[in-house]
Amino acid sequence: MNAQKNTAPLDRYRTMRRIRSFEERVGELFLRGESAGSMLHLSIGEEAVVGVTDAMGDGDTFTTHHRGHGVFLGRGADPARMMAEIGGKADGYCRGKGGSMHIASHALGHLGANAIVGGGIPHVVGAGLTYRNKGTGHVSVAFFGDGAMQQGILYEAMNMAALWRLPVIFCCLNNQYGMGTRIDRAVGKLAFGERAEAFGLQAAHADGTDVEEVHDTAQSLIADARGGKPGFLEISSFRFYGHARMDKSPYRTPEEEEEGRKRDPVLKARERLIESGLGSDADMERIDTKADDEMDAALESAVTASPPPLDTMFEDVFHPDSPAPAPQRDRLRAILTETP
Amino acid sequence: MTAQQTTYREAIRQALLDAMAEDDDVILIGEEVGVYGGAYGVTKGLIDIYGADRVIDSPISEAGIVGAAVGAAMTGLKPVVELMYVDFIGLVMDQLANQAAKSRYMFGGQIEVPMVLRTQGGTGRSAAAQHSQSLEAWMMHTPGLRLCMPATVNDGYHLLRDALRQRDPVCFIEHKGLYTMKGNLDTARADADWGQPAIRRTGGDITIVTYSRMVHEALKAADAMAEQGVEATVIDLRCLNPLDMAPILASVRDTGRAMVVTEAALTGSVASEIAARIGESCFDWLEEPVLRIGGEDIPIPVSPKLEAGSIPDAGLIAETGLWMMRRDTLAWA
Amino acid sequence: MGLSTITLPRLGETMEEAKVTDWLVAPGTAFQRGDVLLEVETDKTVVEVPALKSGTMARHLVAEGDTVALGDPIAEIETDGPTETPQGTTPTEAPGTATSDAAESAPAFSCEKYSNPTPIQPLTPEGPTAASPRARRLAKRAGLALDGITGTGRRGRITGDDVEAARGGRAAAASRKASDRIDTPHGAIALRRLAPDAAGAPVLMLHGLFDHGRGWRDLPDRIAAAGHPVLVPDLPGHGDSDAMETLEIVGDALARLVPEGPVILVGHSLGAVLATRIARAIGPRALRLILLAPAGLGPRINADFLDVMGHAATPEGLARGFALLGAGPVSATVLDTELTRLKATRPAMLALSRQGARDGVQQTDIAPDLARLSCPVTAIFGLDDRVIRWTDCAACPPRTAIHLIPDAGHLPHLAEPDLVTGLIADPGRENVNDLQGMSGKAPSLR
Repeated sequence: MNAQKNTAPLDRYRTMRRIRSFEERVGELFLRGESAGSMLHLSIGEEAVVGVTDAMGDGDTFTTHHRGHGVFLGRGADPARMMAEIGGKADGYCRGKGGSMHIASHALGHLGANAIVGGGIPHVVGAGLTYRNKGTGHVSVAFFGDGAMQQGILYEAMNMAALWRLPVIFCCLNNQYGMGTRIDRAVGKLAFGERAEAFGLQAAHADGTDVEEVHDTAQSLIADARGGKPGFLEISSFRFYGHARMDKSPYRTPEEEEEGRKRDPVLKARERLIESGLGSDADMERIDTKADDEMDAALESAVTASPPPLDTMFEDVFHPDSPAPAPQRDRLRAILTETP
Repeated sequence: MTAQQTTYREAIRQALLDAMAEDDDVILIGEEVGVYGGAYGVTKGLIDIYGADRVIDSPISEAGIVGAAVGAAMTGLKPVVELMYVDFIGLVMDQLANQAAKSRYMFGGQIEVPMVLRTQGGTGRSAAAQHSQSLEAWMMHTPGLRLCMPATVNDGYHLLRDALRQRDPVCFIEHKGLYTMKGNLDTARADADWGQPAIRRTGGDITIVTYSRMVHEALKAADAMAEQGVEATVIDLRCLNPLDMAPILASVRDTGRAMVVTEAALTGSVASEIAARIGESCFDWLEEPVLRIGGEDIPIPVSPKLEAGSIPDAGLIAETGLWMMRRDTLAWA
Repeated sequence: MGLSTITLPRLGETMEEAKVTDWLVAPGTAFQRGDVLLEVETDKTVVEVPALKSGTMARHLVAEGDTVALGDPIAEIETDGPTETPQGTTPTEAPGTATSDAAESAPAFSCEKYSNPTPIQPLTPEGPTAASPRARRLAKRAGLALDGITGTGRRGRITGDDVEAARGGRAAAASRKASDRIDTPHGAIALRRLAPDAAGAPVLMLHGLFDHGRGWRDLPDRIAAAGHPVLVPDLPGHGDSDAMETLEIVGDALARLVPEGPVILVGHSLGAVLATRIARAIGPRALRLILLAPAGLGPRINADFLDVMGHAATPEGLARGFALLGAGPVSATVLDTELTRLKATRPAMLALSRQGARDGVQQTDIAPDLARLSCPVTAIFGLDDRVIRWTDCAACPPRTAIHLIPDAGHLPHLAEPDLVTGLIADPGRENVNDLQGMSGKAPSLR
C-alpha cells in the first residue's frame, strides 16, 4: 500500500511539543531574572489549540488573550523573537514594547495579544467587516479564556457577528479557571455553547486533550464562517500551572492538580501517534529533542539580545510621519535655560 | 465647488461624502447613522448613496462598535464611528484608550488603527447631565489618541478630512450647539494646517485661548472689550493633539496676559493643561497670572437657566479680561 | 479746583519712614501727572515720589531734611475736580480711582450668576512688592529696584510698562541732575552733578578700579544734602566715560573737572591715588583730601581680586569678587547688571589695572605726595579689607587722620555712611577719631 501517509497529525504533535518546551523555558527565563516582569501566563495543558491554528489558512487573522503563546506559535511565530519580546529586547516582535501580554505580528495575522479580559474579541468583528466588504475570503478568530465568557463585550461582538453574518470564530479556551476562581464559582450555568447559539452562532465543543478532535471541529466551523456563518468553539482543558508565573495555585488542592495533569494533550497525542503507527518511539524522541534544542537556543538568544535604545520609547506612539511626543527633559531644558 | 455658505452640519456631512467618494475603504458605523440619518442629521442620505455595507447601522453596543472599528482599521478599512453623545465614552473607554490608542505602540509599530471616532458634546440643549458634557480631557490625557474639535464651518469640513488622512485613531468632537451655525465653506482651503491653531482675531492687550463653541463666546467678548479700548487676540486651538503651542506662546509673550477658556468642568481640564504650558514657557513675559475660565465643577443641570449659568459666556470672559487690564471693576465681585 | 493732601507712600517693602532730600516742585508751581514732586531717602535708597494726577503745588508740609513717617501728610496740592478728601498717593489705593463712568459703560452682559459676592480683600500694604513677572524681568534687565516704582497695574501691581516708564523717567531724572559728558583733550568723561547751587565747597568723588559713579550709592546724595555741590564722574574707561590709556592721562583729564575755587577731594582705592595727584596739582585749592581704602600706600594688593574682577564671565564668578570687596549680600539682579557693565568696559579697565598693580604688587606710591600736601588728609580703612590691608595706614604721613572701621571691608564708606559723610562734609568732626580713639580696642599693627 503506497497511499501517502497523512503527516498533519505528526506536525500538530511537533507544534504542541514545541509549545510545551517553549513555555517551560519562559518559566526559566523568569527564574534567571531575564524576563521583563513576571506577567507570564503559561499555556501548558492547553496545547491542543494547535487543532484550531492548524485549521486556519494563510491571511486569516486572530486576536489572543493573556495566555496566547501557544496560539501564536501555532500560527508560525519564531520562538526566538517571541522569547526576546518576553525579555523586553529590541529584537522582539514588538521591539520590546509589548512583552508576553501584548505580543503581535502583522505579517502572521496576529492582531494582538490583549491583557484586558475580552479586549481583543470585538476586533475580529471589525476584521470580519473588512473581509466581507473586500471579499477576501479570510476569517478572523478571537481566542479567549473562560473568564471572558463573563464580559459584556463578548456578547456585543457575538451579536454583531451574527447580525452581519461575518467570517468570524469565537474560540473559548476553557481551562476551568479565571485567575483563581474555578468556573463553577463564576457562572450560574456552564453551557457556554447555548449562550452562543442564543445569539445565532453555530456552536461546538471539543475535548482539549484531543488535538485531532479539536482540529476536525475547528475545520468545519471555520469553513462555515468563511461562508458567512460565524461560529463559537469551546475547548475544554486543564491549566497545569498557576494563573501567572508567580501564582502557586493555593486555590487548588494537590489532588485536583494531579488529576488535572493526567489530562495531558501532548502525551495523549504522542501515544496515539505511536499507536496508529504514524511514528515510532524513536521518531517521537527525535521530535522532542529537536523541540527542546530549538527552545534552548531561543532562550539563550533572548538572554544575550540587546535591550532597545532608550530613545525608541518615543517611537510608535503615532505614525512616523506624524508629530511624536517630545522627551520632557528637552522641554525642561528649553524652559530653564532660556535667557529672557 | 469651492466657497459656499453652509452650515456646520452640512460641512461635516460634505467631508464624509467626499471622503467616501474618494476612498472605498471609508465606512461609517454607528447607532442610527444609516436609515435614520444620524441623531443630529449629519449622515443623512449617505446610506442611499453608499449602501448598507459602508453606512452601517449598528445595534446599541457602543463598546462593540468601537471595538469592531478597531479591528476593521487594523485590517485595512478606514472606519468612521459615530458615537451619538460623547457622554457615552465611558462605555467605550477600554476600546478607545486601551485598544485603539495603544495598539501601534504595544505592538511595536506593526499594527496601526487609522479610525475616526466622531462624536458631539457640549451644552445648550437642556440635555442634562448625561448628554451635555465636554469630556475631551479624558481623551487628551490618553497617549496615542489624536483629538480635534472644530469651531467653524470650514473646520468642520477640513479637520474631518485631515482626521481621515491620519494613520492613527482620531477623536473628532463636534458641538451640538453649532450644527445649525452658518458660515463659509471653502473645500479648497483650510483655516490652518493639521495641528496648528487658528488666530481668529488679533489684539495686543490680552490673549484668549479657546476651542469649539467657546471660540464664538470669546470673539463676542473681544468685541465688547474693544469698546472699552482693550484689544484681545483670540486663538482657536482646533486640534488638541497634535497641538503646536508656538503661536500661542508667541502671542502671550507679546500681550503678557492670557486667559484659557473651556466649556468643560474646569478641574483637570484641557484649559488647565494649556494654562500650565503657557505658565511654564511664558513666565517672564506675564503681567498677570494665566487665568482659566471653564464650566463649574458640577454635573450639567437640566434647567436652561442653571445650564447656561454653569458655563462661561462672553460676559464673564469680557469682564475678566477688562479686570486683568484694570479698565473695569467686576460686576459680580 | 480742589485742595488735596498728599501723604508719604510706601516706596519700599521694609520702609516705615523716609527723609525728604529734595523738593523738586516748589509751591505755586504747576505739575503734570507723573512728574517727580520730591525725592526722599529711605533706609535703602533715594527714590522719587511722582504725582498721580496733574495740579499745582499749594504748600509743602515737610521740609528738606525732615523725616516723615509712612502715611504722613507731605504736601497740599490743587487739582481739578471737586474732591476735598485727602488723597493718598499710596499705590495700593490706586484701584479705588476707577471711575464710576467706566463701570456704567461696562458691556451690557448680565452676570447675575453669583448672588452672594465675596468682597475683594485689599492688597496688604505689608506684603512684598507686587510686580508682574514681566516687570521683574524688565527691572532686572534695566538694573532697577522695584521698590521705587509706582505700580499702575491691577490693584497697584507694578507692570512691565511701569518699569519701562520708570527707566525712561530715571534717564530723564539723571539728565535733570546734569549727568553730562564733559569733553577733555583725552576724551569725554561722564559727570553727574548734584546740588550744583549749594553753598558749601564742591566735592569731587573719584571711585575705584572696576567701579562706576553709581557705585557710591547714596553717599553723593548725603553729601549734597549736607550742603555741598557734588561732582561724581565715571573714571575714564569706566561707566559711560571714554577709555584713556595711562593713569597720568586719566589724572590730567579728571583734573579738568575741578571747578574754580576750593574743592574737597574724595577718592576710593585707585581713586585715592588719582585724588592725591589732583590735590598735588591744584595746591592750596584743595581744601580737604579724604582717602577711602586707598591704594598706593603699600606694596600688596589682593591679586585674586583683580583677577576675578578682570576676568569674571559669570554672575557666580563676579560674586566672588564682590565677596572680596566685602559688599555684603548682593542680589542676582545686581550681579547680572554689574557683569554686563563690566564686560562692556573691561579692556580699558584692565589696562589701568595693570598700571596700578602687577602680580599682586602695587605700582604706585602716594606717600611722597601726601607728605607734601598742606591740606588736611583723612584716611579711612576697613579692618576686614581683603583687597588692600588696613595696615597700609602706617605709611600715611604723621598728620593724617586715620579711621579704622571694624567689620568693614574694602568699602568702608558704605559700612559707615554717616561717619564718612560727616568726615567729608563736616570738618569739625574730622579729627575727633584717630587711631587710638576709634573703636576702643586698638588693633595691633601686624
